[in-house]
Amino acid sequence: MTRRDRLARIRLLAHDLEVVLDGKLDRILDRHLAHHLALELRRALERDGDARLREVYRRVLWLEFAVERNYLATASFEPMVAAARIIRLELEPRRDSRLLDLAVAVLPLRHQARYHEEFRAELADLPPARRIPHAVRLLSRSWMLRRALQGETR
Amino acid sequence: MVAARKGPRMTLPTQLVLGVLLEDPTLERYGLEICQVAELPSGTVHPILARLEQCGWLESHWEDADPHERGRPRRRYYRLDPGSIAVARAAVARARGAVPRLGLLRPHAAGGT
Repeated sequence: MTRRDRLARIRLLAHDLEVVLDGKLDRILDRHLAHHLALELRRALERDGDARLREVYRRVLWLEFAVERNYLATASFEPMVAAARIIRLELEPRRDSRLLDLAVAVLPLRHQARYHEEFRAELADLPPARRIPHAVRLLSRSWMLRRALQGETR
Repeated sequence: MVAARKGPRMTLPTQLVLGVLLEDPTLERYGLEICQVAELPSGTVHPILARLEQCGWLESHWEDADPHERGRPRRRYYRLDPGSIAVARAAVARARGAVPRLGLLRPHAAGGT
């Protein structure tokens, strides 16, 4: 299984888990299903050494613990729903990253790594709602930047 | 270094970017910050910064910080090359001085007499 396939599978599992948890887990069947999904998700994450996935793995462990504790205490499952949602969002491909990839792809090869890091730092400084518009604008100006960078050899 | 002696085209956005950098030439600023201070749309500053860097007016370097500690990629900081500050200041002044003159020319052009 390629890394891409594995990530897609983890994403699907996390989404299933979120759906189950959203059902409030008031039936024993759902609780078993949640455990099963959490276990599968954990196994899938264990097979990958990515630092971001290690953070997700930590959340899965917490989620499993929370499932058990909430079941015993019959308390609200809201925190678990929130945790599952965070896991799914972390695993979903980010649209702003894709836009940055495109913006950088048109630049001369030797400048790509620099601008990729520089643009990512800029996105990280912005609130989430402003990231995609910013990435779109960077993309729209990428040909202009390409021309500017090519000017050095002309 | 012929390219270093040739100045960039002094468009209005270029003047605004240089204006920000000339406010305090010792201060290092990163792209997004320059963009916000100059009140330019995001994405417009990088081609300008690239041109200024290529003509030798600007120097840049990576932030000296561990991205893992900061929780974000490194910023690229820009500042005016100390040897180009006077040239840049003069170029901005010249370009700003040219704007009113262009303004005076407009009525003649529109009038067509």
